[in-house]
Amino acid sequence: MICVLTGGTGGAKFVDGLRQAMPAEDITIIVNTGDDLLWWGLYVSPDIDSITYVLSGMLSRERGWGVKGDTFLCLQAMGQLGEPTWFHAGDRDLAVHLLRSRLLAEGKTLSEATAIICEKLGVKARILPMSNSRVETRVDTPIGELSFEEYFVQRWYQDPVNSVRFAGASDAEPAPGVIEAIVSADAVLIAPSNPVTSIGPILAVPGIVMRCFEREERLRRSVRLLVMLRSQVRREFSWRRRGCHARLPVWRRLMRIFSMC
Amino acid sequence: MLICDTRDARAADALRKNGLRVQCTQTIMRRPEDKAALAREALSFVAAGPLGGEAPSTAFRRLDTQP
Repeated sequence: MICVLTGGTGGAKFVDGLRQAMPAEDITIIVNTGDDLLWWGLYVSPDIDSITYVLSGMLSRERGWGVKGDTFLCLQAMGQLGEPTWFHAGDRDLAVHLLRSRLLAEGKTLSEATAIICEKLGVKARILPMSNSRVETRVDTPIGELSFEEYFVQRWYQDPVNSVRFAGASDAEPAPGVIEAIVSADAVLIAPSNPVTSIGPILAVPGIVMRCFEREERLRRSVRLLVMLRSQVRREFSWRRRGCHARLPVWRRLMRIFSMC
Repeated sequence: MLICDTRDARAADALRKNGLRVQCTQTIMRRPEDKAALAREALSFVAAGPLGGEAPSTAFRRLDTQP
């Protein structure tokens, strides 16, 4: 059994490769939910959606997000109605958001809603949100604090970043199955996702890092906590935070996240 | 254990000196075969056997205290 901690873009590509290298049934994926947002009243979980779509064969490989071949008629119609359109939810994509939102409104947890959607889409791997509690990645910029999607999608990551925080993380609990997956896995892989905004929120949920370290100490003779980095991350985010932290190379930022948790 | 891109090979040397096992490889996944290759490399890296020495968490913390 392999456990992967991941965000949605680089991580989705890696998970796509992983399912070619081993049985999907043996993969548990713990996914960042710090990017989740309410869009047109619907609960959207961009990273869970990307992982779900890639494992169901639905992901648009051209865009790297959303459903392949999707149309955007609802987006156009909402624009005509004067609603915001900066978050490009496709029509088939919206079907997943509608179903998830209905399940949550009926009292299901995000874990349960994710499991139901995965089953309906034929996903054989196990996808777990990092937490069923709301944890929100907030980006502090000179124009004020933004949600991650506002910063990244709406404003095209053009604003200098002062700091990043994970609102609600300190009170959050790992979703059911998360700790068990980490403890029982043959290996815990940290996918090549952005260390600050994709891996950072997962590690900020109390208990997750400690369990990673505990298993690492326990399995010390064959350490299997694998972290993957890619220099591309360095180019994607030009953090301009004052002080040395922002100028640290990406691997050292990740080390710092680990050390601080 | 760390996998880093071949372009970060210089950083890998510094990390190895601090007790981490580091593998440099092509990590940019443009084509389907890139994804599968990286996944296979990661799986064989973790299956490669005992590390010995100190646990990576110790090395992480020491690295973080370095200037």
